[in-house]
Amino acid sequence: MSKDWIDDKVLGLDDEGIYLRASQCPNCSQICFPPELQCNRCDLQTELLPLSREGVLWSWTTQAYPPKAPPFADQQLIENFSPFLLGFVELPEGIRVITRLQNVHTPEIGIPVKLTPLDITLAPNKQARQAFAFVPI
Amino acid sequence: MAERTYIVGIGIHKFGRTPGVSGIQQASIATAAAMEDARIQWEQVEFAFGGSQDAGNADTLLKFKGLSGIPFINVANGCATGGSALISAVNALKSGMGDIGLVTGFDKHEHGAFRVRLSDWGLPDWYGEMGFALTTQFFAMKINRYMHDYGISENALVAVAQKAFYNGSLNPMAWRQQAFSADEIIASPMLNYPLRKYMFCSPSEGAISLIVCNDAGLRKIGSRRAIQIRGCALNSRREGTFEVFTTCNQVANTAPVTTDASRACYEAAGIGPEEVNIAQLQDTESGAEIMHMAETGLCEHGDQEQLILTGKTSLTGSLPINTDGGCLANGEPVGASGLRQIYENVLQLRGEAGKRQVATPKMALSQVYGAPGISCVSLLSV
Repeated sequence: MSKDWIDDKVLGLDDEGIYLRASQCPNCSQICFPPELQCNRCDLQTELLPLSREGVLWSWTTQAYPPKAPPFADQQLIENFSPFLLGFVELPEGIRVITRLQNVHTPEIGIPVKLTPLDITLAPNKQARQAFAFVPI
Repeated sequence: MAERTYIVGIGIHKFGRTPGVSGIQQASIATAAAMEDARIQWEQVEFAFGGSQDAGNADTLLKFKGLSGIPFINVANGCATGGSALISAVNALKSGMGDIGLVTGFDKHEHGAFRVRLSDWGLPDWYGEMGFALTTQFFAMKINRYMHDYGISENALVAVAQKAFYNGSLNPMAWRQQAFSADEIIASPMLNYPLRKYMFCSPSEGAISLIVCNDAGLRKIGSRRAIQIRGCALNSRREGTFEVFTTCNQVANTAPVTTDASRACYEAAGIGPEEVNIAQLQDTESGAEIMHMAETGLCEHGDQEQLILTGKTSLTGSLPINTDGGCLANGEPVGASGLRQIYENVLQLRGEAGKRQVATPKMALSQVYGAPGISCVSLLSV
Protein backbone atom coordinates (compact mmCIF):
# COMPACT_ATOMS: atom_id res chain seq x y z
CA MET A 1 0.00 0.00 0.00
CA SER A 2 2.56 2.54 -1.08
CA LYS A 3 0.15 4.56 -3.18
CA ASP A 4 -1.67 7.62 -1.91
CA TRP A 5 -5.44 7.61 -1.57
CA ILE A 6 -7.41 9.58 -4.16
CA ASP A 7 -8.80 11.44 -1.12
CA ASP A 8 -7.74 10.85 2.50
CA LYS A 9 -11.25 11.54 3.73
CA VAL A 10 -12.82 8.75 1.68
CA LEU A 11 -10.66 5.68 2.23
CA GLY A 12 -9.19 3.92 5.25
CA LEU A 13 -7.19 0.74 5.79
CA ASP A 14 -7.41 -1.99 8.42
CA ASP A 15 -6.40 -5.66 8.69
CA GLU A 16 -9.00 -6.72 6.14
CA GLY A 17 -8.07 -4.11 3.53
CA ILE A 18 -9.51 -0.81 2.44
CA TYR A 19 -12.83 0.51 3.65
CA LEU A 20 -15.01 3.53 2.86
CA ARG A 21 -15.16 6.23 5.52
CA ALA A 22 -18.47 7.80 6.44
CA SER A 23 -19.60 9.98 9.32
CA GLN A 24 -22.51 9.47 11.67
CA CYS A 25 -24.23 12.00 13.90
CA PRO A 26 -24.36 10.87 17.57
CA ASN A 27 -27.77 12.50 17.90
CA CYS A 28 -29.84 11.88 14.74
CA SER A 29 -27.72 8.96 13.39
CA GLN A 30 -27.58 10.44 9.88
CA ILE A 31 -24.77 8.90 7.84
CA CYS A 32 -22.78 10.92 5.30
CA PHE A 33 -20.38 9.66 2.65
CA PRO A 34 -17.82 11.13 2.33
CA PRO A 35 -17.71 12.06 6.02
CA GLU A 36 -18.78 15.51 7.24
CA LEU A 37 -17.23 16.99 10.38
CA GLN A 38 -20.50 18.52 11.55
CA CYS A 39 -24.01 17.11 11.24
CA ASN A 40 -25.93 19.39 8.89
CA ARG A 41 -29.10 18.89 10.93
CA CYS A 42 -27.94 18.89 14.54
CA ASP A 43 -24.81 21.03 14.27
CA LEU A 44 -22.97 18.46 16.41
CA GLN A 45 -19.54 16.97 15.79
CA THR A 46 -19.93 13.63 13.97
CA GLU A 47 -18.23 10.30 14.62
CA LEU A 48 -16.26 8.36 12.02
CA LEU A 49 -18.09 5.31 10.69
CA PRO A 50 -16.26 2.70 8.61
CA LEU A 51 -18.81 1.40 6.08
CA SER A 52 -19.43 -2.29 5.41
CA ARG A 53 -17.39 -3.75 2.57
CA GLU A 54 -20.29 -5.75 1.17
CA GLY A 55 -23.65 -4.63 -0.14
CA VAL A 56 -26.07 -5.09 -3.02
CA LEU A 57 -26.12 -3.30 -6.35
CA TRP A 58 -29.03 -0.80 -6.27
CA SER A 59 -28.60 0.45 -9.85
CA TRP A 60 -25.92 0.83 -12.48
CA THR A 61 -25.09 2.26 -15.88
CA THR A 62 -22.32 2.40 -18.43
CA GLN A 63 -20.27 5.48 -19.29
CA ALA A 64 -19.80 4.84 -22.99
CA TYR A 65 -18.55 8.28 -24.08
CA PRO A 66 -15.50 10.10 -22.69
CA PRO A 67 -16.37 12.53 -19.87
CA LYS A 68 -15.05 16.09 -20.23
CA ALA A 69 -11.54 16.38 -18.77
CA PRO A 70 -11.20 18.12 -16.42
CA PRO A 71 -12.87 17.30 -14.11
CA PHE A 72 -12.39 13.73 -15.43
CA ALA A 73 -8.79 12.80 -14.61
CA ASP A 74 -8.35 9.08 -15.29
CA GLN A 75 -5.17 9.34 -17.40
CA GLN A 76 -5.49 5.88 -18.89
CA LEU A 77 -9.06 6.43 -20.06
CA ILE A 78 -8.34 9.96 -21.30
CA GLU A 79 -5.54 8.61 -23.51
CA ASN A 80 -7.35 5.50 -24.66
CA PHE A 81 -11.04 5.58 -23.81
CA SER A 82 -13.08 2.47 -23.26
CA PRO A 83 -16.51 2.38 -21.62
CA PHE A 84 -16.61 1.85 -17.86
CA LEU A 85 -19.37 0.90 -15.43
CA LEU A 86 -20.61 2.69 -12.35
CA GLY A 87 -23.46 2.26 -9.93
CA PHE A 88 -24.95 2.89 -6.52
CA VAL A 89 -24.39 0.18 -3.92
CA GLU A 90 -26.78 -0.20 -1.01
CA LEU A 91 -24.94 -0.94 2.23
CA PRO A 92 -26.31 -2.45 5.47
CA GLU A 93 -25.88 0.93 7.19
CA GLY A 94 -28.91 2.21 5.23
CA ILE A 95 -26.99 4.29 2.74
CA ARG A 96 -26.32 4.04 -1.00
CA VAL A 97 -22.91 5.13 -2.31
CA ILE A 98 -21.66 5.90 -5.80
CA THR A 99 -18.88 3.68 -7.13
CA ARG A 100 -17.08 2.33 -10.15
CA LEU A 101 -17.92 -1.32 -10.95
CA GLN A 102 -15.26 -3.80 -12.05
CA ASN A 103 -15.10 -7.43 -13.25
CA VAL A 104 -18.60 -7.38 -14.72
CA HIS A 105 -20.07 -6.61 -18.13
CA THR A 106 -23.85 -6.51 -17.69
CA PRO A 107 -24.61 -6.60 -13.97
CA GLU A 108 -28.01 -7.45 -12.58
CA ILE A 109 -29.67 -5.14 -10.10
CA GLY A 110 -29.64 -6.72 -6.64
CA ILE A 111 -26.47 -8.81 -6.99
CA PRO A 112 -24.14 -8.93 -3.96
CA VAL A 113 -20.98 -6.88 -4.43
CA LYS A 114 -17.85 -6.14 -2.40
CA LEU A 115 -15.37 -3.29 -2.14
CA THR A 116 -12.01 -3.52 -3.92
CA PRO A 117 -9.12 -1.10 -4.49
CA LEU A 118 -8.89 0.62 -7.88
CA ASP A 119 -5.59 1.99 -9.15
CA ILE A 120 -5.94 5.26 -11.02
CA THR A 121 -3.36 7.61 -12.55
CA LEU A 122 -4.49 11.19 -12.25
CA ALA A 123 -4.12 13.60 -15.16
CA PRO A 124 -2.46 15.93 -15.87
CA ASN A 125 0.51 15.16 -13.56
CA LYS A 126 0.33 11.37 -13.77
CA GLN A 127 0.10 10.84 -10.00
CA ALA A 128 -0.56 7.25 -8.97
CA ARG A 129 -3.55 7.10 -6.62
CA GLN A 130 -5.72 4.46 -5.06
CA ALA A 131 -9.47 4.79 -5.47
CA PHE A 132 -12.24 2.24 -5.03
CA ALA A 133 -14.64 0.06 -6.94
CA PHE A 134 -17.11 -2.71 -6.19
CA VAL A 135 -17.01 -6.17 -7.80
CA PRO A 136 -19.54 -9.02 -7.82
CA ILE A 137 -19.01 -11.53 -4.99
CA MET B 1 -60.41 34.32 -3.06
CA ALA B 2 -56.82 34.84 -4.08
CA GLU B 3 -56.16 37.16 -6.98
CA ARG B 4 -56.20 35.49 -10.37
CA THR B 5 -53.21 35.71 -12.70
CA TYR B 6 -52.97 35.27 -16.45
CA ILE B 7 -50.65 34.85 -19.41
CA VAL B 8 -51.67 37.35 -22.10
CA GLY B 9 -48.69 37.29 -24.42
CA ILE B 10 -46.14 34.69 -25.53
CA GLY B 11 -43.03 34.99 -27.68
CA ILE B 12 -40.33 32.58 -28.80
CA HIS B 13 -36.96 32.64 -30.48
CA LYS B 14 -36.46 29.40 -32.38
CA PHE B 15 -34.64 26.70 -30.43
CA GLY B 16 -31.51 25.01 -31.72
CA ARG B 17 -28.34 26.73 -32.87
CA THR B 18 -28.36 30.31 -34.13
CA PRO B 19 -24.77 31.40 -34.83
CA GLY B 20 -24.18 35.13 -34.54
CA VAL B 21 -27.24 35.82 -32.39
CA SER B 22 -26.47 36.13 -28.67
CA GLY B 23 -28.70 34.68 -25.98
CA ILE B 24 -29.81 38.14 -24.89
CA GLN B 25 -30.65 39.08 -28.51
CA GLN B 26 -32.77 35.94 -28.71
CA ALA B 27 -34.52 37.05 -25.50
CA SER B 28 -35.09 40.48 -27.02
CA ILE B 29 -36.69 38.93 -30.12
CA ALA B 30 -38.89 36.68 -27.96
CA THR B 31 -39.89 39.67 -25.80
CA ALA B 32 -40.87 41.76 -28.82
CA ALA B 33 -43.03 38.86 -30.01
CA ALA B 34 -44.66 38.46 -26.58
CA MET B 35 -45.47 42.20 -26.38
CA GLU B 36 -46.94 42.14 -29.87
CA ASP B 37 -48.97 39.07 -28.96
CA ALA B 38 -50.31 40.86 -25.86
CA ARG B 39 -50.75 44.09 -27.84
CA ILE B 40 -48.84 46.14 -25.28
CA GLN B 41 -45.97 48.62 -25.42
CA TRP B 42 -42.75 48.35 -23.38
CA GLU B 43 -43.92 51.30 -21.23
CA GLN B 44 -46.79 49.16 -19.94
CA VAL B 45 -44.46 46.53 -18.46
CA GLU B 46 -44.23 47.29 -14.72
CA PHE B 47 -41.70 44.65 -13.61
CA ALA B 48 -39.66 41.77 -14.99
CA PHE B 49 -38.14 38.49 -13.86
CA GLY B 50 -35.78 36.52 -16.05
CA GLY B 51 -32.62 34.52 -16.32
CA SER B 52 -30.18 32.34 -18.19
CA GLN B 53 -27.46 29.95 -17.07
CA ASP B 54 -24.74 30.68 -19.62
CA ALA B 55 -25.92 33.68 -21.66
CA GLY B 56 -25.72 36.63 -19.30
CA ASN B 57 -27.98 38.77 -17.13
CA ALA B 58 -31.61 39.06 -18.17
CA ASP B 59 -31.54 42.70 -17.00
CA THR B 60 -29.41 43.48 -20.07
CA LEU B 61 -32.72 43.36 -21.95
CA LEU B 62 -33.35 46.89 -20.66
CA LYS B 63 -30.64 48.13 -23.03
CA PHE B 64 -32.60 46.69 -25.94
CA LYS B 65 -36.14 47.52 -24.82
CA GLY B 66 -35.66 50.81 -23.01
CA LEU B 67 -34.23 51.95 -19.66
CA SER B 68 -37.66 52.43 -18.13
CA GLY B 69 -36.58 52.16 -14.50
CA ILE B 70 -38.75 49.12 -13.71
CA PRO B 71 -37.68 46.52 -11.15
CA PHE B 72 -35.91 43.84 -13.21
CA ILE B 73 -34.89 40.84 -11.14
CA ASN B 74 -32.37 38.32 -12.48
CA VAL B 75 -33.24 34.74 -11.57
CA ALA B 76 -30.77 31.86 -11.44
CA ASN B 77 -32.12 28.46 -10.43
CA GLY B 78 -30.64 25.95 -12.85
CA CYS B 79 -33.19 24.06 -14.94
CA ALA B 80 -35.97 25.68 -12.90
CA THR B 81 -34.85 29.21 -13.79
CA GLY B 82 -37.86 29.80 -16.05
CA GLY B 83 -40.30 28.30 -13.59
CA SER B 84 -38.77 30.31 -10.76
CA ALA B 85 -39.14 33.50 -12.79
CA LEU B 86 -42.80 32.65 -13.45
CA ILE B 87 -43.53 31.91 -9.78
CA SER B 88 -41.83 35.15 -8.77
CA ALA B 89 -43.90 37.10 -11.30
CA VAL B 90 -47.13 35.47 -10.14
CA ASN B 91 -46.32 36.38 -6.55
CA ALA B 92 -45.42 39.91 -7.62
CA LEU B 93 -48.81 40.26 -9.32
CA LYS B 94 -50.61 38.94 -6.26
CA SER B 95 -48.68 41.15 -3.87
CA GLY B 96 -49.42 44.32 -5.81
CA MET B 97 -45.90 44.94 -7.11
CA GLY B 98 -47.53 45.63 -10.46
CA ASP B 99 -50.37 44.60 -12.73
CA ILE B 100 -48.43 43.69 -15.89
CA GLY B 101 -45.08 41.93 -15.90
CA LEU B 102 -42.52 40.26 -18.15
CA VAL B 103 -41.08 36.78 -17.63
CA THR B 104 -38.15 35.80 -19.82
CA GLY B 105 -35.78 32.85 -20.07
CA PHE B 106 -33.02 32.27 -22.60
CA ASP B 107 -29.73 30.47 -23.05
CA LYS B 108 -26.86 29.65 -25.35
CA HIS B 109 -24.63 26.73 -24.34
CA GLU B 110 -21.36 25.35 -25.69
CA HIS B 111 -21.60 22.06 -27.57
CA GLY B 112 -21.64 18.73 -25.74
CA ALA B 113 -22.57 17.76 -22.20
CA PHE B 114 -22.62 20.46 -19.53
CA ARG B 115 -19.25 21.06 -17.90
CA VAL B 116 -19.63 20.86 -14.16
CA ARG B 117 -17.85 23.00 -11.55
CA LEU B 118 -17.78 20.54 -8.66
CA SER B 119 -17.43 23.15 -5.93
CA ASP B 120 -20.69 24.77 -7.07
CA TRP B 121 -22.48 21.59 -6.06
CA GLY B 122 -20.52 20.81 -2.90
CA LEU B 123 -18.89 17.79 -4.52
CA PRO B 124 -15.37 16.45 -3.79
CA ASP B 125 -12.70 16.43 -6.51
CA TRP B 126 -12.58 12.62 -6.70
CA TYR B 127 -16.21 12.61 -7.85
CA GLY B 128 -15.16 14.34 -11.05
CA GLU B 129 -11.75 12.66 -11.33
CA MET B 130 -13.34 9.20 -11.32
CA GLY B 131 -15.85 10.19 -14.01
CA PHE B 132 -19.09 10.69 -12.09
CA ALA B 133 -19.76 14.36 -12.88
CA LEU B 134 -22.25 13.66 -15.67
CA THR B 135 -25.98 14.24 -15.30
CA THR B 136 -26.67 11.58 -17.94
CA GLN B 137 -25.42 8.84 -15.57
CA PHE B 138 -27.93 9.84 -12.93
CA PHE B 139 -30.86 9.67 -15.35
CA ALA B 140 -29.65 6.31 -16.63
CA MET B 141 -29.32 4.80 -13.15
CA LYS B 142 -32.70 6.18 -12.07
CA ILE B 143 -34.56 4.72 -15.07
CA ASN B 144 -32.59 1.45 -14.91
CA ARG B 145 -33.77 0.92 -11.34
CA TYR B 146 -37.29 2.13 -12.23
CA MET B 147 -37.58 -0.33 -15.14
CA HIS B 148 -36.49 -3.10 -12.77
CA ASP B 149 -39.03 -2.10 -10.11
CA TYR B 150 -42.03 -1.48 -12.38
CA GLY B 151 -41.50 -3.79 -15.34
CA ILE B 152 -40.94 -1.09 -17.97
CA SER B 153 -39.16 -2.33 -21.12
CA GLU B 154 -36.88 -0.74 -23.69
CA ASN B 155 -39.91 -0.50 -26.01
CA ALA B 156 -41.26 2.34 -23.87
CA LEU B 157 -37.95 4.24 -24.04
CA VAL B 158 -37.93 3.91 -27.83
CA ALA B 159 -41.58 4.94 -28.18
CA VAL B 160 -41.07 8.11 -26.12
CA ALA B 161 -38.15 9.18 -28.32
CA GLN B 162 -40.04 8.33 -31.50
CA LYS B 163 -43.02 10.42 -30.34
CA ALA B 164 -40.81 13.36 -29.40
CA PHE B 165 -39.10 13.57 -32.77
CA TYR B 166 -42.40 13.08 -34.61
CA ASN B 167 -43.97 15.95 -32.65
CA GLY B 168 -40.82 18.00 -33.29
CA SER B 169 -41.23 17.40 -37.02
CA LEU B 170 -44.55 19.30 -36.78
CA ASN B 171 -43.03 22.20 -34.83
CA PRO B 172 -41.37 24.94 -36.91
CA MET B 173 -39.67 26.35 -33.78
CA ALA B 174 -38.05 23.03 -32.78
CA TRP B 175 -34.33 22.34 -33.14
CA ARG B 176 -34.76 18.84 -34.53
CA GLN B 177 -37.62 18.63 -37.03
CA GLN B 178 -36.85 15.19 -38.41
CA ALA B 179 -38.83 12.14 -37.34
CA PHE B 180 -36.92 8.92 -36.56
CA SER B 181 -38.14 5.35 -36.88
CA ALA B 182 -38.00 2.97 -33.93
CA ASP B 183 -35.24 1.04 -35.76
CA GLU B 184 -33.15 4.19 -36.14
CA ILE B 185 -33.49 4.95 -32.42
CA ILE B 186 -32.56 1.38 -31.41
CA ALA B 187 -29.57 1.51 -33.76
CA SER B 188 -28.20 4.71 -32.20
CA PRO B 189 -25.21 4.14 -29.90
CA MET B 190 -25.71 3.29 -26.22
CA LEU B 191 -24.39 6.22 -24.17
CA ASN B 192 -25.43 5.32 -20.62
CA TYR B 193 -27.21 1.97 -20.37
CA PRO B 194 -30.21 1.68 -20.96
CA LEU B 195 -30.23 5.05 -22.74
CA ARG B 196 -29.15 5.54 -26.36
CA LYS B 197 -28.06 8.66 -28.21
CA TYR B 198 -31.48 9.44 -29.68
CA MET B 199 -33.08 9.09 -26.26
CA PHE B 200 -31.13 12.08 -24.85
CA CYS B 201 -31.55 15.80 -25.32
CA SER B 202 -28.56 18.12 -25.79
CA PRO B 203 -27.80 21.61 -24.52
CA SER B 204 -28.95 24.13 -27.15
CA GLU B 205 -30.11 27.74 -27.58
CA GLY B 206 -33.40 29.55 -27.53
CA ALA B 207 -35.57 32.09 -25.71
CA ILE B 208 -39.11 32.43 -24.43
CA SER B 209 -40.87 35.51 -23.07
CA LEU B 210 -44.29 35.79 -21.45
CA ILE B 211 -46.44 38.78 -20.59
CA VAL B 212 -48.35 38.09 -17.37
CA CYS B 213 -50.97 40.14 -15.55
CA ASN B 214 -53.62 40.15 -12.82
CA ASP B 215 -57.29 41.16 -13.16
CA ALA B 216 -56.42 44.86 -13.04
CA GLY B 217 -53.80 44.31 -15.74
CA LEU B 218 -56.29 42.37 -17.83
CA ARG B 219 -58.69 45.34 -17.70
CA LYS B 220 -55.88 47.67 -18.82
CA ILE B 221 -54.90 45.42 -21.72
CA GLY B 222 -58.41 44.30 -22.65
CA SER B 223 -57.27 40.85 -23.75
CA ARG B 224 -60.02 38.34 -24.51
CA ARG B 225 -57.71 35.37 -24.94
CA ALA B 226 -55.99 35.28 -21.56
CA ILE B 227 -54.85 31.92 -20.24
CA GLN B 228 -55.24 31.55 -16.50
CA ILE B 229 -52.33 30.46 -14.29
CA ARG B 230 -54.11 28.05 -11.95
CA GLY B 231 -51.11 27.02 -9.91
CA CYS B 232 -47.34 27.19 -9.87
CA ALA B 233 -45.14 25.40 -7.31
CA LEU B 234 -41.45 24.78 -6.85
CA ASN B 235 -39.97 22.32 -4.38
CA SER B 236 -36.49 21.18 -3.46
CA ARG B 237 -35.63 17.56 -2.65
CA ARG B 238 -36.15 16.02 0.76
CA GLU B 239 -33.87 13.58 2.59
CA GLY B 240 -33.84 10.09 1.11
CA THR B 241 -34.62 10.70 -2.56
CA PHE B 242 -32.28 9.73 -5.41
CA GLU B 243 -30.94 12.89 -7.04
CA VAL B 244 -28.43 14.10 -9.57
CA PHE B 245 -24.94 15.13 -8.35
CA THR B 246 -24.74 13.11 -5.15
CA THR B 247 -22.12 10.83 -3.63
CA CYS B 248 -24.65 9.02 -1.46
CA ASN B 249 -28.29 8.94 -0.47
CA GLN B 250 -30.19 7.60 2.50
CA VAL B 251 -32.35 4.51 2.03
CA ALA B 252 -35.88 5.84 2.64
CA ASN B 253 -39.35 5.92 1.12
CA THR B 254 -39.48 9.66 0.57
CA ALA B 255 -41.71 10.95 -2.24
CA PRO B 256 -39.71 12.32 -5.20
CA VAL B 257 -39.45 16.11 -5.40
CA THR B 258 -41.66 16.20 -8.50
CA THR B 259 -44.44 14.52 -6.52
CA ASP B 260 -44.10 17.14 -3.79
CA ALA B 261 -44.27 20.00 -6.30
CA SER B 262 -47.19 18.40 -8.17
CA ARG B 263 -49.25 17.96 -5.02
CA ALA B 264 -48.64 21.58 -4.04
CA CYS B 265 -49.66 22.74 -7.50
CA TYR B 266 -52.85 20.63 -7.65
CA GLU B 267 -53.77 21.95 -4.22
CA ALA B 268 -53.22 25.56 -5.31
CA ALA B 269 -55.35 24.97 -8.40
CA GLY B 270 -58.03 23.09 -6.48
CA ILE B 271 -58.05 20.25 -9.02
CA GLY B 272 -56.79 16.68 -9.31
CA PRO B 273 -54.56 15.06 -11.93
CA GLU B 274 -57.61 13.45 -13.61
CA GLU B 275 -58.60 16.91 -14.90
CA VAL B 276 -55.33 17.38 -16.80
CA ASN B 277 -55.67 16.71 -20.52
CA ILE B 278 -52.29 17.81 -21.87
CA ALA B 279 -48.85 17.77 -20.22
CA GLN B 280 -45.33 18.96 -20.94
CA LEU B 281 -42.92 16.91 -18.80
CA GLN B 282 -39.16 17.19 -18.31
CA ASP B 283 -37.70 14.72 -20.80
CA THR B 284 -33.98 15.20 -20.41
CA GLU B 285 -34.06 11.67 -21.78
CA SER B 286 -36.81 9.16 -22.60
CA GLY B 287 -36.81 7.65 -19.14
CA ALA B 288 -37.47 10.96 -17.40
CA GLU B 289 -40.76 11.43 -19.26
CA ILE B 290 -41.86 7.95 -18.21
CA MET B 291 -41.01 8.46 -14.53
CA HIS B 292 -42.43 11.99 -14.43
CA MET B 293 -45.80 10.74 -15.78
CA ALA B 294 -46.29 8.85 -12.53
CA GLU B 295 -44.46 11.32 -10.27
CA THR B 296 -46.91 14.06 -11.36
CA GLY B 297 -49.85 11.75 -10.59
CA LEU B 298 -50.98 11.52 -14.23
CA CYS B 299 -50.86 7.70 -13.99
CA GLU B 300 -49.90 4.92 -11.59
CA HIS B 301 -46.29 3.73 -11.40
CA GLY B 302 -45.91 0.90 -13.90
CA ASP B 303 -48.86 1.87 -16.12
CA GLN B 304 -46.75 4.06 -18.40
CA GLU B 305 -45.67 1.46 -20.94
CA GLN B 306 -49.21 0.48 -21.83
CA LEU B 307 -50.31 4.13 -22.04
CA ILE B 308 -47.38 5.01 -24.30
CA LEU B 309 -47.51 1.94 -26.57
CA THR B 310 -51.27 2.32 -27.12
CA GLY B 311 -50.82 5.95 -28.19
CA LYS B 312 -52.55 7.58 -25.21
CA THR B 313 -49.69 10.10 -24.90
CA SER B 314 -49.49 10.89 -28.63
CA LEU B 315 -51.07 14.00 -30.19
CA THR B 316 -54.34 12.14 -30.85
CA GLY B 317 -54.41 10.28 -27.52
CA SER B 318 -56.37 11.05 -24.37
CA LEU B 319 -53.34 12.57 -22.58
CA PRO B 320 -50.90 14.06 -25.11
CA ILE B 321 -47.43 14.59 -23.61
CA ASN B 322 -44.61 16.81 -24.89
CA THR B 323 -46.61 17.96 -27.86
CA ASP B 324 -43.87 20.30 -29.14
CA GLY B 325 -41.24 17.55 -29.13
CA GLY B 326 -40.07 18.25 -25.58
CA CYS B 327 -36.42 18.60 -24.67
CA LEU B 328 -35.56 15.72 -27.02
CA ALA B 329 -36.55 17.70 -30.13
CA ASN B 330 -35.90 21.21 -28.77
CA GLY B 331 -32.69 20.65 -26.84
CA GLU B 332 -32.24 22.20 -23.45
CA PRO B 333 -31.32 25.87 -23.23
CA VAL B 334 -31.49 25.76 -19.43
CA GLY B 335 -32.93 29.24 -18.83
CA ALA B 336 -35.61 28.89 -21.52
CA SER B 337 -36.56 25.23 -21.26
CA GLY B 338 -39.21 25.44 -18.53
CA LEU B 339 -40.85 28.43 -20.18
CA ARG B 340 -40.96 26.57 -23.51
CA GLN B 341 -43.36 24.14 -21.83
CA ILE B 342 -45.55 27.07 -20.73
CA TYR B 343 -45.40 28.56 -24.25
CA GLU B 344 -46.55 25.26 -25.75
CA ASN B 345 -49.37 24.85 -23.24
CA VAL B 346 -50.63 28.39 -23.97
CA LEU B 347 -50.55 27.71 -27.72
CA GLN B 348 -52.46 24.44 -27.24
CA LEU B 349 -55.05 25.96 -24.89
CA ARG B 350 -55.64 28.78 -27.38
CA GLY B 351 -55.96 26.26 -30.22
CA GLU B 352 -53.07 27.86 -32.10
CA ALA B 353 -50.63 24.93 -32.24
CA GLY B 354 -51.06 24.31 -35.96
CA LYS B 355 -50.24 20.82 -37.23
CA ARG B 356 -49.64 19.53 -33.70
CA GLN B 357 -52.83 20.96 -32.17
CA VAL B 358 -54.55 18.47 -29.86
CA ALA B 359 -58.32 18.30 -29.45
CA THR B 360 -59.70 21.07 -27.20
CA PRO B 361 -57.49 20.82 -24.11
CA LYS B 362 -58.85 22.61 -21.02
CA MET B 363 -56.24 21.99 -18.30
CA ALA B 364 -52.51 21.88 -19.08
CA LEU B 365 -49.70 20.76 -16.79
CA SER B 366 -45.98 21.45 -17.11
CA GLN B 367 -43.13 20.05 -15.04
CA VAL B 368 -39.39 20.72 -14.91
CA TYR B 369 -36.78 18.71 -13.01
CA GLY B 370 -33.24 19.92 -12.56
CA ALA B 371 -30.02 19.62 -10.63
CA PRO B 372 -29.47 19.16 -7.77
CA GLY B 373 -33.03 17.96 -7.16
CA ILE B 374 -35.57 20.73 -7.73
CA SER B 375 -38.91 20.48 -9.48
CA CYS B 376 -41.31 23.13 -10.73
CA VAL B 377 -44.90 22.32 -11.73
CA SER B 378 -47.55 24.62 -13.14
CA LEU B 379 -51.15 24.33 -14.23
CA LEU B 380 -52.78 26.54 -16.87
CA SER B 381 -56.40 26.60 -18.00
CA VAL B 382 -58.52 28.42 -20.56
